Formats: sequence, C-alpha cells, structure tokens
Amino acid sequence: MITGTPKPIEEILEMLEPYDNIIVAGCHGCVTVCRVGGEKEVQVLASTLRLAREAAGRTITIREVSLERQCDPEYIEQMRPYVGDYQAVLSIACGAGIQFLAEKFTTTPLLPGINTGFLGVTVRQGEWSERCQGCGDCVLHLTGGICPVTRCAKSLFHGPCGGSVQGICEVDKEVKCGWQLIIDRLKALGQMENYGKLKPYKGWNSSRDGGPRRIIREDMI
Amino acid sequence: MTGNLNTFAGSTKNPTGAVMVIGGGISGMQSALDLANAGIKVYLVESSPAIGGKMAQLDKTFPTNDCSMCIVSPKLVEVGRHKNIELFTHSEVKSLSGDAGSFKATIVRHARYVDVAACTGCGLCELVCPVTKISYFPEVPAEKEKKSRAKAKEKRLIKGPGLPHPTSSHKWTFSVDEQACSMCGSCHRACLHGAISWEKKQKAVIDQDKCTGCGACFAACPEKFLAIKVDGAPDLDKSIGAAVHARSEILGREFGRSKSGDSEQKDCIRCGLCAITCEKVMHIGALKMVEQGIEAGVDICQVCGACVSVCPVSFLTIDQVTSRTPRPLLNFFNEGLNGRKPINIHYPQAVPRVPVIDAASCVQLNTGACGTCATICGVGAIHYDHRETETEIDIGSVIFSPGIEVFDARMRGEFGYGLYKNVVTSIEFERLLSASGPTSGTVARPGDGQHPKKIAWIQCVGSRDHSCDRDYCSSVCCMYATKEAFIAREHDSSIKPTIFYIDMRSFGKNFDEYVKRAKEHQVRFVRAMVSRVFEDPLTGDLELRYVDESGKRQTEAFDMVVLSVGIQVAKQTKELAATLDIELDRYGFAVTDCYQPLATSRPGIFVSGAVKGPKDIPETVCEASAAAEAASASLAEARGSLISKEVLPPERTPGPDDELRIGVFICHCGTNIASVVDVAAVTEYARTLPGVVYAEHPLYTCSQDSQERMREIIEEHRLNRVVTSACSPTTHEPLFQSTLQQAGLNKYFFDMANIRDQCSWVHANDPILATEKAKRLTRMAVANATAGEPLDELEFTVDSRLLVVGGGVAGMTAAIEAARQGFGVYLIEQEPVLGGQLLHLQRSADGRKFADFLLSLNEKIAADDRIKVFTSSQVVEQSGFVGSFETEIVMPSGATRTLKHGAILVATGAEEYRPEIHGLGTLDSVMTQTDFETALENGTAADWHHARVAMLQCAGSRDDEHLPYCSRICCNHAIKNGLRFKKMFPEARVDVLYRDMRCYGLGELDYREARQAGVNFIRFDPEENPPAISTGETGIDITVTDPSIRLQVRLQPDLLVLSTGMKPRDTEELASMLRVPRNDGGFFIEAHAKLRPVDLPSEGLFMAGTAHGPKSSSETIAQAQAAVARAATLLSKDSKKLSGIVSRVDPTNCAVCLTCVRACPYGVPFINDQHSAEINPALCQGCGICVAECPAKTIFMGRYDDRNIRAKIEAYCASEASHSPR
Repeated sequence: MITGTPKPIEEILEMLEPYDNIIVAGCHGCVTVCRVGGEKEVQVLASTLRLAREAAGRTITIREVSLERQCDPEYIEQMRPYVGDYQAVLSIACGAGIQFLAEKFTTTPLLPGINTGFLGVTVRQGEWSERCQGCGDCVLHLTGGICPVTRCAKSLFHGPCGGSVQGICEVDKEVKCGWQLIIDRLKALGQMENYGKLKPYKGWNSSRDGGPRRIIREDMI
Repeated sequence: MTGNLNTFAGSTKNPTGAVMVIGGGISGMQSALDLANAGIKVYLVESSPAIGGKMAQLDKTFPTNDCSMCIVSPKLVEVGRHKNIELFTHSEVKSLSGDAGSFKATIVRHARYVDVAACTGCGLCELVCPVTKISYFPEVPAEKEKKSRAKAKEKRLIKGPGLPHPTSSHKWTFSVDEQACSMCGSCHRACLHGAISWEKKQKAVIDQDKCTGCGACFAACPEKFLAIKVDGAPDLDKSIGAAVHARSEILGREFGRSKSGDSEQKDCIRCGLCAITCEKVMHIGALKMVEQGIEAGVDICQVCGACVSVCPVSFLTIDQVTSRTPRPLLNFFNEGLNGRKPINIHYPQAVPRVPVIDAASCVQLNTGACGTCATICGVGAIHYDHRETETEIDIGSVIFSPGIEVFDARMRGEFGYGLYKNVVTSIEFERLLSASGPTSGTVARPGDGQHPKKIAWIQCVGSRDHSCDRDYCSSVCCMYATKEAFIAREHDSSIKPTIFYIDMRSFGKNFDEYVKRAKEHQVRFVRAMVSRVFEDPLTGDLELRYVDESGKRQTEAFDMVVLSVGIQVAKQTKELAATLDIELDRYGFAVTDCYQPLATSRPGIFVSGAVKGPKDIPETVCEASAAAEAASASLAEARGSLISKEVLPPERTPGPDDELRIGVFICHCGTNIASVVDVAAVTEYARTLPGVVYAEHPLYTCSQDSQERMREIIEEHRLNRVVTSACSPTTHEPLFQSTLQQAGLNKYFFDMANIRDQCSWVHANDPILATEKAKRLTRMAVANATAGEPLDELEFTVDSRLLVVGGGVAGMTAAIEAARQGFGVYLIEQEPVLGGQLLHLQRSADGRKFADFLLSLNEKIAADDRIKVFTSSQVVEQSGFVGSFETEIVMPSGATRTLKHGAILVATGAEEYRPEIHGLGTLDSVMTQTDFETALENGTAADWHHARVAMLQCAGSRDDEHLPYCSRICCNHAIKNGLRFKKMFPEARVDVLYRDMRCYGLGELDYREARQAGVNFIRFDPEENPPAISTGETGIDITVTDPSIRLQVRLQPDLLVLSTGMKPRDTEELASMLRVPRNDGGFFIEAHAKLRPVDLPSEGLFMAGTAHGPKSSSETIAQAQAAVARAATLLSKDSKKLSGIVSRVDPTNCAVCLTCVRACPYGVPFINDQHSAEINPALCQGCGICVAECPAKTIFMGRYDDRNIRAKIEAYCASEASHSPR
C-alpha cells in the first residue's frame, strides 16, 4: 500500500488561513488502511479544524467527504456537483489522489493534509516499512525475494558496500544491510548462483529517470 | 383533404379494441407488435404466404452493413409467436364496412392446402415433390366419363453419349402377382434383360438373377391388372412417389449428383425411376426404356419435369422429353432467378414456415395424380381439398401498409432489361448477394454464371423520370446501390463497381460517411446518366454510353449492369385502396396531411411505410410505430379488452435433496435429423446418463401435440429437468420453456442441444460420427441441466406516466398523444413558452401557417388535465429504472420537484446553425433560409419585385469545419422558399448553388416545379469547383463554373441566402444524466439504426424529433407518435417481469475496482454505500460482459456460471476418455 503521515495541524491551519468554507476529502483506499486518510481521519481532522478555528474566533464550514478512491475518475466525479460551492479541498489521500483531484477540478485549490510516504507493508500495528520503489524492472526472483533497490540504502546491485558492518547499514543503526539480508537468504535457499546472475548494471530507464511514467495496456483499452 | 383531421383528438364511443394491419412487411410487423404489446388485438393480413416483405429479400442493410435477414428474423419470430397477433397469410381483405372505432372487415384466406396449425415446417414435402415446371395438364374427363389415357403418336429416342449402363444398386425387387397376372405378356416385352419368361396363356415369371431392377415390367403392366409387385423399396409404404424419391436420393449420392443436379455420369443408368414416375406417379406413361436409352412420347408429355428431377444422373433434360416449350416455375422470392416446386416454403426463415401449394402447377390439384407430398408428411398437414375461406372480423382501426413493388425496368427499353441476360435489377442483385439466394451468395452473371469483374449501377431507373410518369425520387436507391457495390466487393474483392448517378442523395443519418467509406473501398461514382446499353451477343458483356462531366461522349464495357429500379405502388394495392375507400395521389401513394402524417382520407384508417411515399427501413419502422399509435389512440379505452392472458400453474419448488429427474427428448425433425443421426441410439444412450429417468424421440418435438405430450410427461414422471436435442435454441427455446412453465416447472430447468444445425446438417455424409456427436451434445446439455438452478423473474409495478423532455413540436405532439392513450404526462420545456424551433419557422409544406398549428397544439395541451406542463424548467437529476423512474426538475422559482414516471421521451430538438460565414450576422444582404422565410412572410420583402437572390446550399453543412453531416431539410427548404419567392415576385431571379439536390421522395416534384418556375440551379463542388463568393457593404459577387454549360458564371445578387443546416441543442448534461450516447454531431444515438429508430439504448427511454437528427416537421410529428407507441408498450402494463438472466454481485469479494462499471455497455453497475458494486436487475440486460471482466470473479449470471460451463466441459471431456483410449 501507499503509506503516509498526517501533516502537523499547525501547518494545515496555516494552509487554510484564506478559507472559511472547505471540503475535507478522504479516500477508502491505501490511506484508510494505514490510518491516515480514511473516513475516521476525515471526521477527526474536520473536528480538530473546527475546534481550532472556533478557538481562534473564526469559524470554518467543512464538508466531510470520503471517496472510494481518489485515483479513479469515476469516484472523483461524485464530487463535481458540489465542489464549486467550496473555496478549497483539503485532501488526505496520497499525493496521487490529491493531484488527480486538482487535475479534475481546475478552479478549486487543492491542499495536502498528509505527507505521502512510500510503498510499504504493515510490520505491526502502527509500524510501516518500505518495500518497493517501483523501479519497473523487478529482480526479486534473483535476490531471494528481497529488493536491493529498496532495501540497500544505495540501491547497489553488486553486493554490499564497505559500510555494511555485521549486517547493519552505516546509514542508520536501525537499518539492516539489504545485501546482507539477500546473501543470507540466498544461502538458506541454496541459490547462491543467482548472485552471479545479476546484471553488472541496472537500467534505470524504466524507473523515475525517464520522467513521470505511464502504463498503457492495449488489451484493456 | 379533410377526413381524419376532425377525428384527431376525438374518440369514438365503445370502440373495438382491435386493429387490422394490412401488409406483413417490416412496417406491418412493427405496427402489429407495438399494438399487441400495448394490449390491442391485431389481425395481420398478408397476401404472400409468409410475412417479412421486401426486407426479408434484402441481403445487407445500409449504413451499418447488418445482415437484413439476421436483424429481421427475430421480429418474424416474435410476430409469429405473439398471442395477440392473429396472422392471416396468403390472405386478402375483401371488404371493409362501418366507421372508425367499429369497422367490420372480411378477409379471404386463399386455399393453402397445408394446415398451418399442424405443419412443423420441416420442408420434406418440398424436397420430395418431383414437379419443377408449369405443366400442360391433360384435360380432366368430366364426371362419369371414362378415364382414358392419351396414347403417344410422336415418339423420340433419347440417347446419352454412350449406351445405358444398367445399375442394380439399391434395386427394388419386382415379382409377379400370380393372382393378378392376366398373362398378357407386356412385362415380357418390356424387359430389356431377358429376365421375364412368359408364353402365351402362361403367367409371367421373373428371374431375379437376371433382373436389374429397372422396373420396366412394373411400368408396362397394364393399369387394369397391376400384377407386378414391388418389395424392398424404402418408403414404399408411404407412396410410390416417396419410394422413387428415396431411391433417387441414394443413387444421386452414389453417382455424385451435385446440388444443382449435375453429375459426371451422362449416360442413362437405367434405374427406371423416370419411367416409373411418369407412369405410376403422374399417370401419363410417356416414357419407356429401350435398348439405346429412353423413348419419350413427346406429344403426351405434360412437361411437369418430374422425370428430370428424379433422374439421379445428368441424362435426362426437359427439352428432350417433350415437343412443347417447357414453362419454368419461378421462385418469386428470389425474383425469378431460380426455380421452385409447386409446394414451396416462401423462404427458409419464413414465418409461418408453412408451405403453400401453387394450384396452377400442382399435378395432384389439376389431374388427381401424384399426391406424394401428402404421403410423406409426418403430421398429416397436407389437404388437397382446402378451399378459400372467408372470415369476418371486428376492428376499431385499420393500418394500411401493403408496401411497394419495384419499377418494371422493361419500360426503360434502352437499358435492355429482359433482353440482355446480364442486365439485372437491384432487387435481383440483392438475391444474388444473399447467402440464401439462388447462387448462395456468389456474385454470378445470370447469363453464363461467370463471375463479373466490372459491374455498373445505373441510378434513377423509374425514378425522377417524367417520361414514364415516375416524377418522384425513390429515396433509397442511392444508398442501396452504394451498399450493393460495397458488399459485392466484400464478396469478391476483384470486382470493380461503378455507379452512374445524377445527384448523390445520401441524406439520412450517417449516410454520407457510408458513401465516403464506399469510395475508400474503391467504389467508383460517375455523375452521368447512361443513355444506352448494348450487349455483345458473343460474350454477353455490355457497353454503356454516356456523356461525362466534361461533355465528352464515352463508351465503357461492363460485365454486368444493375439497374437501380425505383419503387412504385402495385396495381393490386391501388385496387385495395379503392376497396378501403382511401385517397391516393396520381402515383398511387396514400394522401395524408402534413400535420397528421399517418391519417388517410378515411377516418379510422391509417397508413405507414413506403406506400405513403418512398422511404427506407428506419423511417418505415418509425412510421409503423407511429401508425400503431395513431390507430390505437382512439381505442385506448378498449385496451386489453380483446387480448388473452396466459394463466400458469404455480411453480413446483424442488428441494435441495430432491433426486434428479431429467427428461430427454431427441427430435427427429422429420428426417432433418433422423436421416443422418440415429435418434433411437441417442435416446437409448441418453437413458444411461446420470439423472435421466425418461427419454423419447418424437417425430417433431415442437409440434403442438408433442408439446402437449411433453407437458403430460413432465407431470406424470415428475420431471424436474428437461433437455431437448433438436434445432436452434434461438428459435425454439422459448417454446419449450413455456411448456415447462405450463407444467409448473421453472423455465430455467431446461437446456437444449442443437443436433440439427450443428450436427445433422453439417455432417450429412458421416452418420456414424454425427450420431456420436449428437450423443455428446446431448450429454453436455444433460450435465448443464443438472447444474441448473431455478431463477426468479422479478416483477414490479409500472408507473404509467410519461416524462417528455423538450416542448417543441415533437414534445407537444407526444404529450397530446400520450394523454390520448390514457397516460399522465409531464412536459418539461426550458424556455418560457412551448413551440421550440417551430416558433421561428413560418409555413408548412402545404402553405399553412405554423403559428396556427402551434396554437391548436397549445389549446389541446391546456385542455387536457392529464398533461402537466413545466416551462422554464430543467431536468437536474435522474434516477430509477424502466417503469419506475424519478426525475428532479428545477422550476423557474428555483424550487425543485421530483416527478415519478415509467418512461422518458427525449425531444430536445435542434436549432438553425448560424455560422459566421459570408458576412452572416453582419451584413443585411446575407441571411439564412429561416430569415428569408420570415422576411417573405412579414412583408419586409415588399420591394423585391426585381430582386436577384442567390441561395448557397450546404453553407456550413457537409463541411468538416462546421457541421460534418447533411442537414437533410435544406434542399427542400430552399426550393420551398424559392418557389414562394418566384410566385410572389415573378420578375425576380433565383439562383441556387448546390452540391447535390437532395429532394428525396415527393420533394422531387417541387424541385421540378421550381425549375419550371424559372429557378436556376447551378452545381458546384467544394473541392474541384468551389464558387468564389465575396460579400461586403458594396455588394455581393459570386463567380462559379456552371457544369451544365461548362462556362464561368458571375452573379451579383442583391441577397445571399444561406442554407446553413441544423444543429442539436446542448444536451451534454442531460445525456450524461440519462446515460445515453450521442454521436459526434451531438444527436442522440438510437438503440438500433434500422429497427429501433426511436428507442434509446437504455430500456424505457425513447426519443423523437430533431434530437435524433435533422428532419422536417412532418417527419418529427410521425416520430413523436412513434415514440409514444413504443412507450405505450411499456406504460400500458400494470407490471413488468424481468428476465431471470441478470448479473448479480457477491459483495464479499468485490474490490470496487470499477471494472464492471467501465465495461457495462448500458451503464448499469454502480458502487453502493456498502463499498461494493451493485447491479440493478431491473436495468441489467443480461449480456454477461461484467461477468467475464470481473477480476475478482464475484459477478454471477444465472445459467451461464462457471458451474454451468464447467459441467458442460467436463461432460464433453468425459467422452474423450471413453471413446479414444490412449
């Protein structure tokens, strides 16, 4: 899922300074699951904002909305009939959702209510960890199911660097060395030969380096 | 004219709730269905043996290239099966008395000689009938007079290239009946093989070892003794004719006789079938077997053709056996391009699929001989004693829709039709293209069967032609010729088609695009009228002479010429109109009023289709619905009074643990299936399948008595599943399902295997494997029935109110008519007043003021309290489904109101297009046709006595930068204004600059009148010869080359009138609210371009008027009435039952991924507030696309679930193991 963290309320209040009549828009997708942008968070954030503004002596009208997903046009269209009645939309969906809203409603300012994180997993309740960077050229079958792009701080492709000390990355003591993990796993699987199969270099053309990416599936159009 | 004008809003007291529809073409069928589905009893009278009309003869239809038969046959079936439509085929209306509301009609049913109720349409009778010619019947002796056979005086020996090769294959056994033998010795003398020993005063004895089984003895034994017995002849128990047919078939197959009757074997095989047929079946005895071949008594031969048709090889021909000229018996459905039998099913898909015996050529009806068909008929449906019968019926209204015939091309002798074999008419060409036609869809020259490469179409043969009194335009020929050329190339890409035309009148919706596509497919268009056609007598090729656009005389050779014949009213139709006492114009088209386009001169009689003026299929269908509306409006109070309702027993609900009790019916279909598939073996096999407790093999499972029996068996054996292995589910499944329902079984506990079309028909040469395949198909059907589950058919009440969006002439007419039909109406108009575009127009085609017409409409609306009008109001939200819609409107006060209704009619209209070209809008001297008309009306034109006016056609139409489509009305509008102007100011001058004058139908008469009145017409071509037009304050200057004189012309008119065309009103929001599609031009797209012209794709939504496409006010009125008729079929019902086959979402696995929402062509699935996709069963059309697309596999559709498919596949594969051990 795509993860995220709430923006500090002060920052949001500052963003909302010019407005008295807004929509807070949540999303039932990933951000609901990582508890940052679901229906509940919409209600909590809206209430918080109302209280804060009331305390500041300047009330704010908020319409609370939760779309099924903010990344599909059909769901976004559900907002069209009334979006023009509001000064701004504060979205607590991921950056993709917020941008898509902004793209569809060109005359209404869109404000981000969360900081979008990464493509990750729930390690345990309340802890998420990054697993994928969407490089567009997956090699997990060669690396024991552990991603060198994501898990190695340098996204190295040739094994660990000199900063790997007893399985810990030099970047952070909390971070395990990705390559240590890969080699341990390959050994356990008896697949050390895969280590040699890795390409001497990785083509990053399918990653972000080619600018914003798109996928076109002719079979579905 | 007066007539129905006065009865427009009236209604008679206590009318009869029935309508007689005359003509069973697409028009009559549509009228009948719309009436019957709205609770009115229908008597449909058709003169030919089956319904279907001209449309059934066509190969493809423009502009979609849909197969005509494929789209019309569901209608045929629906009409044939409808409980409230009584069919009178092969029948005619003899008289009509009484008045509107309570007529009495006498219908004559001509003798058919086949019982329509008993016949199953298997076609065996036609197969066995040996007659192929119109006979010269011997005189039948008067009663009591002794029958005596004529004796041949003139004999001719028929020889093959070699001597006869006697065959004993499948021979019959001939023996002498000692009791009957009178020792005459005829047999001994006849036998060519010395197999019969006889001496005077001794009985003859046949030596079976020497006998070849030719039956010469049998034929020779005198009639008074009949001493030769026949044994071992299949089907002899039926008749000798049937036995001859059976042996002829077997031998034919053995000697490789092709479908057309040709075989390699040219010599006589002395099978004796010809002589036996002539003697024993036809009672003529003109043929005798002799050493060298056959001896024919050419003077006594009745030329029936039987001997030739039973000959298994290519030995006999009809010319050899007679001295008279054989008279071919032509198949009229195939336009006489091939032959037929006296007993004949009109066409393969005919409804009713029941043959008729032609009394003029049937041997039995004329001489009492033969009678083979009656002996072969398994259900005893043939009765030679049938006589014409008369039936009197009570009806409230009549719809006159007898259709048209094509022009007799022989009247244009210069084209050589009737003389040159390779000159055909367009309708003949349709039959040549048709897969079920005389050449099975091969494009072949009638002259020699060669495949033509260069084909020419000559347009306007019998249209736009004053010389043969066909001044009108036939409206359809430009498009059908384009279509035929297009399709001919599809059949054979080496064909080079050329169309010679005057104006390309592709004025309908999407027609111009079609012509453009044809041009891209190398159809060549030459603007020229062909003057003569000459045939090369050696090759049969044809030389065409014409003058091309540059004025040069041209000659060009073609392999084949198709004459695009116009349409005309048949003589019989004119006579019928006289019987009905309705007025026709000089060409025979029914006279109507332009405000009441469906009403004839006699109140209570309405007209639709091409008999009201040439028109294409969608317009005909639209008019047919409109006529149904017009005919039933005054009968509304009698709705439902004469129709029958089916009462079904309560359904048995099987428990989950109930044992399976499957009944299997394996159909013989006469011999269609049984002659190839061993049905008894399949039945035996079916009994062994798990769950099967009953199996049988009826001769015709679909016959009335078999169905009754099926119902009894279901009850007696407590069956809870039924399987039939028979023909196509498309045509027969509903019949079997209704039998299940009558027996109290859910109709989805049924499955059907098609062992005819998909088995016996395609594997006729391999009976053993065909039988195996039939078993396997049956097993799959049994497995599927086992997996079957009962499906509920949801029933809900229908709100009888109609919402009409748009208050122009379409909306107003619809509102008035719907109210007359007894429905409540909400009429929504966004402007403050009703009237729409008609408010800006002045006069109708016949010169009446539109203002007066609008006034009368307004009065009617105001007077009817069933109509609620909301002006200055708009639709803002719409929900619900067919029969139960809710629409929210905003009223001028700003308040909203929710309206509940059962159907929606979109009549949002169009307006005049006003492009900023040539100074329109800035210069006073440049105006549109509407402005010009207003100026003429309001007298602002007072000083135009010597004015010079130039009109520019297609100003902004047929132009990619403006309106890409043809606006259809502009040519007629320009002519109307031009004529009026010339009448007001005879000294003034009018020049019309045009591309194609599209004065379709009777509009051509005005075009002619305009030319006679001195209006000049100058053709231009926007690419090759565009007019140079400059306009300014100083004046207007136009330079253009006039192709008729091939010189440049300079015009300096005082006025430039632009024919700007029509554009639809802005309906983007409405369209997205209603989820209905619009085309690129912004016009709404109909559910089916041909057959559902006023239906929108979603159920319960209809449209009328210019929202559909540009059209005249009269066409708009007809369309509004049509839309009301279509809505009435829904609104007249108290409740509606939905199909059980609808998609259902299991929310458990729904990922709300929107795939179904995006995939559904009807826009039905939506995401509900429970975070799941939901499909309203009332809206679902059961197409199954969402089921296939759903990535979570959480959408299900009864009967087509994985469970069913898997059951069938597993049943199929199980046999793989048992039949081919590996």
